[in-house]
Amino acid sequence: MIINKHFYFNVFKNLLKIDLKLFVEIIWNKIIDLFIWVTCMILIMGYVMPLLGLANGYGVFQLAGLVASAGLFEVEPSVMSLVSDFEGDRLISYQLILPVTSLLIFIKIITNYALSAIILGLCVVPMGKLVLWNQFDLTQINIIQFALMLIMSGIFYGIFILWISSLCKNVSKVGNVWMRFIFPLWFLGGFQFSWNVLYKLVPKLAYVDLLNPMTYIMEGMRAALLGQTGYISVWFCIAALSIFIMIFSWIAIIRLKKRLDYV
Amino acid sequence: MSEILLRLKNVKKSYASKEALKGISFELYKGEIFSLLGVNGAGKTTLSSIIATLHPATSGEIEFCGQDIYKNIVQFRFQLGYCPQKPNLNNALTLEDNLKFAGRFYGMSEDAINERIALLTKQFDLNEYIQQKASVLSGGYRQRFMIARSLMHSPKLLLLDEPTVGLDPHIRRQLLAKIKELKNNGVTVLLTTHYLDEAEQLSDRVCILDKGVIRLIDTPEKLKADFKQKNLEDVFIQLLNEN
Repeated sequence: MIINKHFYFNVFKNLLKIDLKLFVEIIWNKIIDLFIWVTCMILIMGYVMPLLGLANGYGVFQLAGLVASAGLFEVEPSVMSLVSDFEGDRLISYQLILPVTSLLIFIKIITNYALSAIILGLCVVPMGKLVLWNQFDLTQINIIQFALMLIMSGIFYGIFILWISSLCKNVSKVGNVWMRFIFPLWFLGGFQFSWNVLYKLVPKLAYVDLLNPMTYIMEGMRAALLGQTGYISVWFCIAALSIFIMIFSWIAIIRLKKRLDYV
Repeated sequence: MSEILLRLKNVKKSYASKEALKGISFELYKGEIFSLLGVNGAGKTTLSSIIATLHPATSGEIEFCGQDIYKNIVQFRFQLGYCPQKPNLNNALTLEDNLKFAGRFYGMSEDAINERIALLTKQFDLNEYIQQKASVLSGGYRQRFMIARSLMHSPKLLLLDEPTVGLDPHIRRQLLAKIKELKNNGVTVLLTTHYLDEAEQLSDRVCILDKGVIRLIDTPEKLKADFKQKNLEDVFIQLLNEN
């Protein structure tokens, strides 16, 4: 057998094919859940809250936040699935002795979760358009920036899932993931406010918030979907996310090496 | 004796609080069935998972056909089939898909995959379940299927870690017959078990592990003669009592 890049790519493709096959089986359920979540949020934020004095256009602002965080809400179930595999099914132990490098297996896991996050994030856009209709102007979208932000946020979520999975000692600990990781990152990451507004009101907290990767996902996604004005530069967000991706990958791989004790 | 296929030299494995293997050395010859015996915690599964390259050894050398396995681990993995104690099948896929993907992971052509699936399905009596999901399999069929999957890419060396644990006696007997057939097909088998009767029945040589140390390696006949016992179980008990 000739082992070259083509062979590795073929194994990678087939591993990913299995994951995507399983994702396709559950995607409709996920889309229905997403639709309920997006519709409820946007209806309230886009139509009810403005009647209570909130700025018009807050629904669109929230919609961009929902696109950005669709992948984040996949973190907990994905961590559950990975940790239960580490503890029980041990499918990972089959993959780790395949004739490829261990790194390729982890890249495959990240790619799988990244693709899921990208697909779900993408689904939020037409849902939002449907609910907000004239409030959401699709011509404002910068397609290239939007695509880049989706990809970067997807990769970040994939790595984040791997990192949290390496931290959870067993399935019972996954219950803590929402309150200890996802919620603070999401809520402090600017789901309901832009970084500029936070900076004007509480500058110190705004600086601290720059350490939160969700800040860049939210800001970058809003800039790509709604226009750059009022948000951190998309390119700065992409650069910052690249740094977070590198840091989290490095830590995740070290922790997984320790946890799974693989070759 | 025939050619050496696998050689272990002073293999050690330590965990934070425990030394699981304290310097294991032995050779495995081409075409033999070699059984690792020992009570629970003796280090059998640790050793087989190290040979399977699932976990690294803390120190020591492992050579396959005279080459350090870690120098070209990918090539070594092509020659290896591993059937772990805990089934690690993809339960969401059918048996056929599990086998198809197993073939693709080892770079087999689609024709070769289909041919091999037909052969293994027949050899392991899996026809009835081949289109069903792995999750529906009973313990015996699951174990059979695990062996079939590990043979998909025609490995030279097959590691079977406690393949008969928890199986009914008649299913166990059928599975042992299948393992014997593998030897006839030229596959070298390293079998991990704590069932001494099955080791005696199947093995060309046995290795008795105790607390991470090899106590004895020899043929079952030689051990019985040396210890003046009727069966391997009595040899094993005598040996443990002596230690």
